[in-house]
Amino acid sequence: MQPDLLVVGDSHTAALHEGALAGGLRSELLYISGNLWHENKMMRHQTQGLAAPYRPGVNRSIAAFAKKVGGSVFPPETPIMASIGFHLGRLAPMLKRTGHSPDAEHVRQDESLLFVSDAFLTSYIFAHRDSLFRVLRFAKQKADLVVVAPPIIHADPVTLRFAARITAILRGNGIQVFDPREEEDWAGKPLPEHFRAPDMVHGNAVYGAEVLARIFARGLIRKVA
Amino acid sequence: MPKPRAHTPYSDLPPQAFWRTGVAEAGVYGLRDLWASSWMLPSDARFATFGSCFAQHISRALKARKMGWIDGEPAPFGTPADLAQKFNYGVFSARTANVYTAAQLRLLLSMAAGETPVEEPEFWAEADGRFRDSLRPLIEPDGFAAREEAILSRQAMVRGLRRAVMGADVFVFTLGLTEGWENASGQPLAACPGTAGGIFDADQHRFVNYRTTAIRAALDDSLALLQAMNPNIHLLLTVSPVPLTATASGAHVLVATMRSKSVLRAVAGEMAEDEAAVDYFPSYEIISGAPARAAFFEPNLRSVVPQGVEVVMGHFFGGLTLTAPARHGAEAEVDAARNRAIDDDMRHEALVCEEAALEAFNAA
Repeated sequence: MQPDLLVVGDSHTAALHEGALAGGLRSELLYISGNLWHENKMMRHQTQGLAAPYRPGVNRSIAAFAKKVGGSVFPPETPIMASIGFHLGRLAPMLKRTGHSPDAEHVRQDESLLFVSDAFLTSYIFAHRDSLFRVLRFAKQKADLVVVAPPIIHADPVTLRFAARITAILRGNGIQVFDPREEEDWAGKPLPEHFRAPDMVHGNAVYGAEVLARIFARGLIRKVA
Repeated sequence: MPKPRAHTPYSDLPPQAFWRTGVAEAGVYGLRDLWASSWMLPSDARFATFGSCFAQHISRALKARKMGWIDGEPAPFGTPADLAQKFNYGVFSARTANVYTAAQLRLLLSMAAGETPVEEPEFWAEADGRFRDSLRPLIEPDGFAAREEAILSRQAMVRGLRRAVMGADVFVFTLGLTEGWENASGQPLAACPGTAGGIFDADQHRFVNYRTTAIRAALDDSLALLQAMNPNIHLLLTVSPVPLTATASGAHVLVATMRSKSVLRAVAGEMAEDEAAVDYFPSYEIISGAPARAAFFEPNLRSVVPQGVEVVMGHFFGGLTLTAPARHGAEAEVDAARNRAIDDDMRHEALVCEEAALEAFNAA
């Protein structure tokens, strides 16, 4: 039977998938570790949609998933929620390691920090994420796709700036993005406690269901029965 | 019977004191004892490098030899080499870009010491709405999105410069030009407005060809600023052998080049003679002197070939005395501990992420 929804991406897919299942949707999940997305080597594939030719094991998982859901990871007939392109837990610490920040207020308050411009930040993001952006541009052409930005529970200025910039880059490429930091009731504060997973990094199933409801309400992907 | 020669001050001089034995017979690759530092530096001595474009070679050579080159404003961790290069990271010990004149060095150090507000030197608004820093107009390939962003970037450079000064045993500065441009209030500019950003205005911008007294004053002030930030610092001056690309002095560019280099060489030499904390390293002589017969220049007679740089750096490293006890071990350990903590955090986060995803498969 054709699934109602596909959830593709890193560890943040768990909450989205669980939320969809809790809502009675037939959701199928393709989880690939954030470490592997962060490698920035994932490629688009004309038939199976996505490929990791340099990692045979992952590629087999992708191929199996594609077969299960109709031939492609990004089939035209099934809406897709993707947690791809951010992987902030790998990206932001690299910049912070050398004491850099792209946030004006952050560097004003902490004299040990070194500012990086928005142009540099954008180039840095492309250097580490451009293959994923290509995959998402390809997926957008093939499928009904929304990228879901990760919730940030321990908000720090560097991570927030990365998140905002990646959201802007994706939208600049015509890709629909649901960014929880832009939600009126969630913006500028930590994610409400009842939405948090015990690990204090991810959202939980309740959060996933809420995200899904908002995505449907806004028509970011077509609503499934 | 030959008459014994009278003893003179020249009688006991070593071979390198005479042109025939020191230069003509030695040849450029046989030059010996051109320079020997009088400073006894720690075995893990740290060097900060700034100045004109020739100073980049010193940075590179120190990095290549893992010789304690300080990078006060490094590229963020994980920056690919081509991106770092595009944004001018890793060229000097902070992103100052080329510092051609002593006046500009003084201004930069004055900001690093907190004596001049970071936002005071002018910024140039471009026709496309972007902004450039008058002290380093090409530091970012497309300038800055806003004046505020340009200020923050300059502030990062100033912090990096201060960090480099405070951590250095030797501050290497390569003097490049006597010719420069200033605005109406006397602020030195990195380049003539209109050539690398900004708009030239004859009422606002004036050409200066700094004379020995002005250069010496700027270097004396610079030394005082350096020592205020780091009382143990040494200042090693060099003069770039790279000729002027163009002169606005009215003289022929060859004459202007020789004037410029001669003035810089004279000031650097005298300052080294006067100050124990200052030394002069003769890279200019090695590249431009008669023994090289201009062989160390590219066919454009301006760019220096790698073989020339290699000879220069051979004399540089050969003249250093790095025999005092190491003194930077504790700083290195602090850096390593900080990096370990960040790596541990990243590993922990990766583990948490894997577990979160696995939980999605828990049917219970």
